[in-house]
Amino acid sequence: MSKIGLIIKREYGSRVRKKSFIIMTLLGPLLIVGFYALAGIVGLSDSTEMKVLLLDDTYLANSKDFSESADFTFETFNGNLDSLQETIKKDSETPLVGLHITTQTINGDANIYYNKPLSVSKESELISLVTQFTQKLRLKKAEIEPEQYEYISVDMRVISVDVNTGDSKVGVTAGIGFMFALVIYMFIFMYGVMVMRGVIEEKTSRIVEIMVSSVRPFQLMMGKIFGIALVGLTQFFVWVVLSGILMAVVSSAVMPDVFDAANVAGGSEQMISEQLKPAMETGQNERMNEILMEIFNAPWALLLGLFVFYFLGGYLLYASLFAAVGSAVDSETETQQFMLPITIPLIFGFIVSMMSVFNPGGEAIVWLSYIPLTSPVAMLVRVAGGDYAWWEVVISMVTLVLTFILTTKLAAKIYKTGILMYGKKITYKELFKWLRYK
Amino acid sequence: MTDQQFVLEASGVVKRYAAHTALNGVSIQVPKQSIFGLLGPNGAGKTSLIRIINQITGPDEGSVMIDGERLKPKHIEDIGYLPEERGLYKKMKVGEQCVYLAQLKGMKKSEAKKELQEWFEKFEISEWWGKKVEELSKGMAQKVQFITTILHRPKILILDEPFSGFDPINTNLIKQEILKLRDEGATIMLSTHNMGSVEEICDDITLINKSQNILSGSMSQIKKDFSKKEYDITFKGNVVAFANSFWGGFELISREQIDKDVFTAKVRLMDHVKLNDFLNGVIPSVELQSVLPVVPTMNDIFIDAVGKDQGNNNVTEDQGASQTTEGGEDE
Repeated sequence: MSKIGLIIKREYGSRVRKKSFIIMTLLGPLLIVGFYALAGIVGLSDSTEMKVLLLDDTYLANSKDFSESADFTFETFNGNLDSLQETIKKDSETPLVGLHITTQTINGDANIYYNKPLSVSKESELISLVTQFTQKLRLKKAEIEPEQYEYISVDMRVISVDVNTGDSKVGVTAGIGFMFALVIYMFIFMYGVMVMRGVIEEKTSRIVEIMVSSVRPFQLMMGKIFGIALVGLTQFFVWVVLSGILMAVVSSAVMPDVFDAANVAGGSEQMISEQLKPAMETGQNERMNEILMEIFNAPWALLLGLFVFYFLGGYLLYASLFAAVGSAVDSETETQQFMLPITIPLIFGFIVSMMSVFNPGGEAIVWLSYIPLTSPVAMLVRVAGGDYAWWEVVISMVTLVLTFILTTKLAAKIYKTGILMYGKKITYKELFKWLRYK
Repeated sequence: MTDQQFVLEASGVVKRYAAHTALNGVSIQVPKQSIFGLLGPNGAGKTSLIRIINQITGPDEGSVMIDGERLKPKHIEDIGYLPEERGLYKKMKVGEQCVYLAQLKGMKKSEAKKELQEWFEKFEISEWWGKKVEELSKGMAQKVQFITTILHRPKILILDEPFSGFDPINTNLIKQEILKLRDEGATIMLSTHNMGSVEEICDDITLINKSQNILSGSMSQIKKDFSKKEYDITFKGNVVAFANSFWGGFELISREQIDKDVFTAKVRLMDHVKLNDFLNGVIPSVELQSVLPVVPTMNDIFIDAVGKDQGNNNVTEDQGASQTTEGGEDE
């Protein structure tokens, strides 16, 4: 095995065998799925029936008007506001809600009183019931027949088609791109810092001088960078597979509805196709279906390919810089002054990407998708959003490759001098001098 | 000397850092199968030279030859280097780490394992094989490092302070191994401040001070050059008679009373005086018991040579003061 191969093997092996890595890799998907499941339990799938006391100052409503809901039973309350509140307060055992309809309700104002906080879904359901009621009042007042109203209110289903590609979309794929951008951003940071720590560890333990008498400093640096890249890819791969399996299990077994939402964020193809069927059969929630269809039809192969490319490209670019920083200091606490110029472009690119999800053709993101320090994070948002030309991607990729070759060379020079320099506080001026050493 | 084959030869090596010159035209010649002492005060440039030989850094001027060939990447495997600043991966197991380092030096895994086990037995550290490095004491780690340095049987061994951190028993063990390695054909370059061990095992030395070599040659020649015609003379008789016996030919440096009328006098003969003449002069006055030449120790020679060099350079001695720790000096 070549020397660099040996180094990669050690760097990779020693990290994936660490308990912390195994725990993080296995628990990561559990945490993500657990988080969604928890969110579902807390916020969405609150199916207990709840009693609503209806206090009507207008005498226009009665509990029958609200009887369409399965989640609530309505009961007309006789009394005033004070006694309503008193009644709700007294019953501390069962969750109880008071709905106060006043003369102002027709103008859009109503009050809800509760003794136990309502879940988000319950509250919005109740509000939509009150809204329907108010609409009926207004229709009556304006002498509009309900049939007429139904005719007027159109639920548009717009499909936008790109004439160049023939693709149609509703506009969520940029969100998928952002998801990838988020993962790339996180991984560059996590594994870049891991490279830096590794360099500092070698330097402080003084193994580095023994190492560089056997291998060239460049081999040592690149071996570490590649080894850790493999650690990152391993972790990503395990996460994708485990999350997919877990989500499939949880969503099919426990709460089918909840995981429609989870899929939008979690994004696993298989999951979506499974979820698609029941939703389409029932014919409900067409908008949701379109979104799911679009996620399903997103250019996954292209996106995944680009993800791997931009993850590796961005990581290689930043990891060499992190390695240079690690070589220049004696401990992690001294890294701050050199970290700032590295982290600012990364964070900047991330923020702009986040803002560009709904405007993937915007000027800022276009520029950032060319600049190699930000392109790994920015380009996928554009590609997923669909507003790009293939040559733009090629330019961005070529610039990224050229830049990481350049930064790796510069970083290697700093690294070579830095790893053998102890007990001295390094300034930027010195770093530039090191670039000239043989 | 000219037709002798030098296994390692550096000529006119210059290494400049931003603030100072670490090596200013240093040349060394290391004869095959010898132990060569690279000496010098802290910050003299020893480590810089060693790093150049190890191809960790490159020289700005000058050349380094191994077996008459200019230094090339393939020579890395011919050299075993034990740096002064040494360490191991703390979280790795001892055996695993030794195999890894041996593989980096070009050994096969199985071969490395087999030979390592032999060495571990020899050094009586077999039970450490599965331990983590962080569990080892400093001396234990030093032993492991020594083994990893010599395991691949390099032609040239560069040992920077190999004895630091060892107790006298282990120091002796390492010394014996170094001598044995030389006898088996290896050439050893030893950089140390322990003058006692230099005296004991070095065949040749070079002394570097302020980025230049100020003294080179074989141990015996250098000792001869630095001897000052001093003798310890033990005699029975009268001190005054002794002192007056050879007027003007010598200087009485010190004397010590051994017994009632037995003294040991340390004398330095004048340049033109032969020992024979001096002895002929004193024999009539006292009864000689022993005459021993005072051989300068390496310690004396070191201090003497560096001191002289400091004196000579006093006028132009500004850049020396600005020497920083750049280049990772050997404190």
